[in-house]
Amino acid sequence: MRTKIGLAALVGVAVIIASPLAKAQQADPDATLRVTYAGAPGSLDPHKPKSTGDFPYVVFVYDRLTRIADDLSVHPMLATSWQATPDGKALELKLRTDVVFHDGTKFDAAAVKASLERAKSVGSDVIKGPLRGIASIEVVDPSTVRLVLASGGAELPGVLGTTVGAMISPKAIASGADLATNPGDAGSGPFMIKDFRLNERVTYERAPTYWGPNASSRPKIVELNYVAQGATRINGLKSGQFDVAFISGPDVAQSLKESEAGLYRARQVFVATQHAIMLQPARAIWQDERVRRAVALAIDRESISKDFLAGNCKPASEPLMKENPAYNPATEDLVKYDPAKARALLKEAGVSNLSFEASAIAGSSMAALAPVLQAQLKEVGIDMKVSPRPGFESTGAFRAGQVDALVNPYTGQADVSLTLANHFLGGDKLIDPKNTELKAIAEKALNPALQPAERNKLYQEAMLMVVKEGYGISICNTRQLQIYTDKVIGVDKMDWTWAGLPDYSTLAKSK
Amino acid sequence: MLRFVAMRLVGGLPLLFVVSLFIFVLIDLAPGDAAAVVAGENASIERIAQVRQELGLNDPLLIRYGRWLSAALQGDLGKSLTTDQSVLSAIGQKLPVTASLTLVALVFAVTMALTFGILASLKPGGVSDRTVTMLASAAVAAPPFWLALVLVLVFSLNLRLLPALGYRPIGEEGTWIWLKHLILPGIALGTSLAAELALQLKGSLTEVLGRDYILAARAKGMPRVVIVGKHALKNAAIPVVTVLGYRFTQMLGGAVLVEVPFNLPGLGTLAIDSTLAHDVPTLLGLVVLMTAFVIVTNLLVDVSYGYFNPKVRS
Repeated sequence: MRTKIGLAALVGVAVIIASPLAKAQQADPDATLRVTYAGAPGSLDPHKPKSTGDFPYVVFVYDRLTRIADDLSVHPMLATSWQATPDGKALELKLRTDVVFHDGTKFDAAAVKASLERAKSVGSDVIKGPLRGIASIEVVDPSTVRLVLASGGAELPGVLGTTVGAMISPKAIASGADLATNPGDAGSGPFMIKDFRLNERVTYERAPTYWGPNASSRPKIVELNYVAQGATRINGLKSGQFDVAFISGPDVAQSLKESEAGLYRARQVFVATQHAIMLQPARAIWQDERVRRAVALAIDRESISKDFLAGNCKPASEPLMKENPAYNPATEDLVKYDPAKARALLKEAGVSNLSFEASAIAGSSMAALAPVLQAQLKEVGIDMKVSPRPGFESTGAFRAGQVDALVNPYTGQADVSLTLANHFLGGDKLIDPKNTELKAIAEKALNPALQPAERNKLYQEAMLMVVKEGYGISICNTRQLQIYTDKVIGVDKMDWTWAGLPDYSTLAKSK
Repeated sequence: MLRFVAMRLVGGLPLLFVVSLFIFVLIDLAPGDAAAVVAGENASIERIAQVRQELGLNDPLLIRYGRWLSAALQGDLGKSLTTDQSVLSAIGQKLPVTASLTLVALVFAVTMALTFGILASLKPGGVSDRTVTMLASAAVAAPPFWLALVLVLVFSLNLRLLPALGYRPIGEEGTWIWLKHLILPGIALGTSLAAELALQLKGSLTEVLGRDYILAARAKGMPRVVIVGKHALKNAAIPVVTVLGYRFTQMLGGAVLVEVPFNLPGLGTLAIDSTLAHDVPTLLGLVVLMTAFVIVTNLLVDVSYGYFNPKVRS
C-alpha cells in the first residue's frame, strides 16, 4: 500500500499499461520465474560490487537494514525504527528479533556490527564512502545497535537501504568465504543461490523460511538472466522463454508500441538516472561562468527528448527529478534553451571558436547522444569533439583530467547526499574547487536532528548552486520498461525501479 | 607421418609467440585503461592509481609481456583482470558453448552440402543443378546476423518452435534441450559454409563423375549410389576438405556474430567483453587458443589429404 502511495506521488512517472483482463491472480508457489536483465552478474558480494548492475542479483539473497520505496521514502526492513540521540552524535537502530540467516545464525545487533564493519573495511569505494561518517558501531543490546557518528548521520537510513546496509551472517564473514562467487547461506533474504554463472545468470531457490511478506507465495525457482541486447530480451519474452524483461534505451519505443498492441504488459518508469554533460572544472576553457552557461543554454532538451529519444526522456534542469522533494523549480529558467542568449554570452566573454573534447562510453546511449549535443552546440559556434572510450574508462579519463568534458549519466541515488558526494563534492567534482559553500550546505543537511523538510530546503539550495555553477549540465531522465506476461504478479509494486535496478525478488507467478 | 605432424606442431610455436606479442602490443596501443575498469564504477583517481600499481601496469611493455610469457610457458595464462577468474577457467566455461555451436553448425553445413552438392552434380545444367546453384549463391551472401534475426522471427516468435536465445548445457536439462537451443544459431552460422561446400562439391563431383573410370563403372552396371558414394565422392573430397578446413577456422571468429543475437555465452562474447575491458590476460589466452586451433586444424586438413589421395601419402 505504501509503495502504491509512493507511485501515486511520482505523478506520470510510473504508469501501468495493463490489459483489461487484469483480475486477482493466485500465486503459484511451485512456479519457475524467468527474468532477463540488462546488467551482468559480476559479483554477489554486496560489499564488493563490480558495478551497480549487480544490485538486482544481490537483493534476492541479502536483506538490508532499511527499505527504499519507489518514492524514495525510507521504510523499515531489518531495522524496525531508527532515531538520532538527542546530542546528534549517534543513530540508534532497533532491530527485528525474528530473523535468522540461511546458515541458522540469528540476526541481531552483533550481526549488524559485523556486517557494517566488514563494509567499512573491505568494501569497495562506493560502499565505504557512505559509511565514512560512522566512527564506531556499538551493540547496545541484541535488538539495538548504535552507530556513533563522526559526521553526518541524516543520510544513513537511506544509505542503509542500499547494499551498504546488506546484512551478512557473522559466520560467513568469519569464514572469509568468497561471497562474490559463492554466497552459500550467508544471507537472510527470501532466496538462496542454486546456481551462479559469472556474467551469465543466477538461479535462485526460495529460502525454506523467510520473515518477510509473501514468503510462501514467491516462486520456487527464479532465474535472473543477463542478456545484453534489448531486442534479444524482447524476443525472449515474446517467444515465451522469459516472464519479465527489462527494457531501456532505443528499445523502449518498440516495446511501448507492442505493449499497447497487447503483446505483453508493461510498466514504465522515468528513472532517476539522468543524461548529462559534465565540464571539467580544472580546464581553463570553462573558467568563465558565461561560457559554461552558454553550453547549458545551447542544449535543446525538448528536442532531444521528443525528436531524438522519441519522448522516452523527460527534460531535466538539475540532477534531481521533479518528483524528488528536494527538487528546486528555480533551476528551470537557468538552463532554458536560448541559443541567441548562448551566442551573446560567448561574445560577451570574448570567446570565439570554442572547441573541446568530450568523452562518452563507446556503444552506450551516451555515445549516441553525443553527436546530437555536438550538432546543437555547433549552432551557437561551439565545436565539440567526441571521443568514445570503453567502459568506466570514460569516467576515469574525465576524473583524471584527461578530457574537457564527459557525456555521462548522473546515477540515481537513494539519498541526495550521495548525488552530491558522487558528482559534486567528490567523484566527478563538478564544482569550482574554491567553492566551500556547497560543502557547508551538504554537511549541514547531514545533521541527524534535522526534519526531512529542513533537509530538503538545504538540498534545494545546493541544487540551485550546482546549476548556477554550471559544471554539471542536466539533460533528461530516461524512461525504462518492465515488460511481462499476464502470469506475473507484482511488477507494479517492485522497489528500486526508479534507479533502473529493479528488485525482482518480490515478484510472484500465477499458474 | 609422425615426424611430419611433430615438425608442423613445433613450427607453430613461433607463430603463437608472434601472434601473442602482436596482440599484446595492439591492446597496449589502444586507448583506454584496464585499471579504470578493474577499479570499477565511481572509483577515485587514487584507487585507479593503486589498482594500476597492483596490476603492474606501470611497468614497461616488454617487462609486462615477459612476465605473461614466462607464466604462460609454465601453463599459467593468468587471471582475468575484471573477474579474478583464472583465464583457463573462463575459457573452459565458455568453450563448450562455442564448441557446441560450431559442432551443430558443422553437422548442418556438411549434411546440407553433401545432399545438395550430390544432387546438383548428378545432372549438370539440369533443374536441380541450377536451383542449387541459385540458392547456394544467395546463401553464401546472407550475413549470419541477418539470418539469425530472420530465423528467430519465423521459428521462435511466429511458430514458437524453437528458443529465441540462450544456451543450456547437456548435463543440465538433457540433450534435446541442448540441441533445441543450438538449432537456429547452428543454421545461422552454418548456412554460408553449407552453401560454399555445396558449390565446391558440385564442381568437384561433376568433374570426377566425367572421368573414364566412372564411365567404366557405369558400363559395368554398378549402382549409382555405389559409384557416387564409394568411388567418386572420395576423389572429389580434396578441394571440399581444403575449403572446410579454411572456413572451419573462420567459423570460430564468425561465431561471435551469432553468439550476440542469440545471447550465447561463448568465446566470441568473452572476446568482446575482454577487449572492451582491456582484459589483456583473457584476450591473450583466447588468441593463443584460437591460433593453436588454427594450427591444429590446418594440420588435420593436410593429414586428411593422405587419406583421400594415396599419391599425397606416398
